[in-house]
Amino acid sequence: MNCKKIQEWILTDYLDGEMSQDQKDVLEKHISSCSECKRFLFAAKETVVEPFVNSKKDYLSESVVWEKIQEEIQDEKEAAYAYAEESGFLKRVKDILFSPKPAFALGTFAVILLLIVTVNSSRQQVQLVKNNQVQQIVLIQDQSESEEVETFSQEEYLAYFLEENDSYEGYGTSLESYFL
Amino acid sequence: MQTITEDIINRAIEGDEQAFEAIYKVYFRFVSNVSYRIVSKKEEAEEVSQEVFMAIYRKLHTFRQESSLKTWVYRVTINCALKYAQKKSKERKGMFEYDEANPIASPEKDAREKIDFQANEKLVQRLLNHLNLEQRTCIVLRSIEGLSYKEIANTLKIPINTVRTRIKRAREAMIVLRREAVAYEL
Repeated sequence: MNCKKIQEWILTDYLDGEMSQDQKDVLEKHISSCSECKRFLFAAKETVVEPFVNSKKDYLSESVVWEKIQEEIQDEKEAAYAYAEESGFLKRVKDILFSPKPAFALGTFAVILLLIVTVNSSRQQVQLVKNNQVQQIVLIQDQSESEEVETFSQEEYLAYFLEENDSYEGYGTSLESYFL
Repeated sequence: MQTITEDIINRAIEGDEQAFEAIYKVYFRFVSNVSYRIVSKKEEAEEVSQEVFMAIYRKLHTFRQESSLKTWVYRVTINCALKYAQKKSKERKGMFEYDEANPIASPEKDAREKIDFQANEKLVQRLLNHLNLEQRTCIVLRSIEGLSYKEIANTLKIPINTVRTRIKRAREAMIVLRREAVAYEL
């Protein structure tokens, strides 16, 4: 067994008690007869084992950290409680507004479709009514025009009649005067 | 030390504060020591420890009870501490690090008897600061917390030979550092 391999074992399994008794016997036999490996073992123990064995292990205060943890747990519980409170009416409203269900989506679509159809048909009706009104207006205009013609004719006729009367003024007067 | 039974775990999952406190008391020493040795600062170690126990509090229901709670807590601790250390390391990048720029000075030239507690603490911190995070984690778990290679392998989810290699390289690096320090002092 060479010194390099022995020193590797010293640094790991031997110092850490991970060796089987047989391996340990082999290693210790070598060390007892090799001054270099003996020195290496001594230096390794002093340098990489003892400082850690003697190190302090209670830097933090158990009660201080526990207090902080309790505060954080309390904060979490309060946040959870606030969320549960909110999950009443407000949450239901929020859910309806921000996360519509398929049934709501279908209903909304149906309402929108109905509105479009209704608005469209009412517009058509309005158009029809407008058309009828226009037709009626045209008819009325036509009628009024024809009435105007008639009226004109009557006026003309009257004028004519008056003229005629005027032209027959003598008869009327004489007749009146005859009866009178 | 109180043993954490299945009943205590179940009660903690259901929100029993006393049961959670029992878990806290059993694992506080491990969590706080490992956190401190990985992040190196007391205030930061407090933050990491708090984070670890809050993670345990929130995720205990995901713990499968056929495995060991101890391994699970160790794993949560290492994950939180390494994540925190990596974040801090990025933030500190480019800043002057005294420990990296200078070889360590031995607390006292000779006599091991004269090595006082504070000097030993400085030495431990400087040795650990000289290692990369992977090596440092293995040394903390092995040399400070006394975990076996198998326990370290289970905690870090790596093969046992990888644990052995990391420990060997870490110790070689620490020996070289001490030799440089001795040569510097002479």
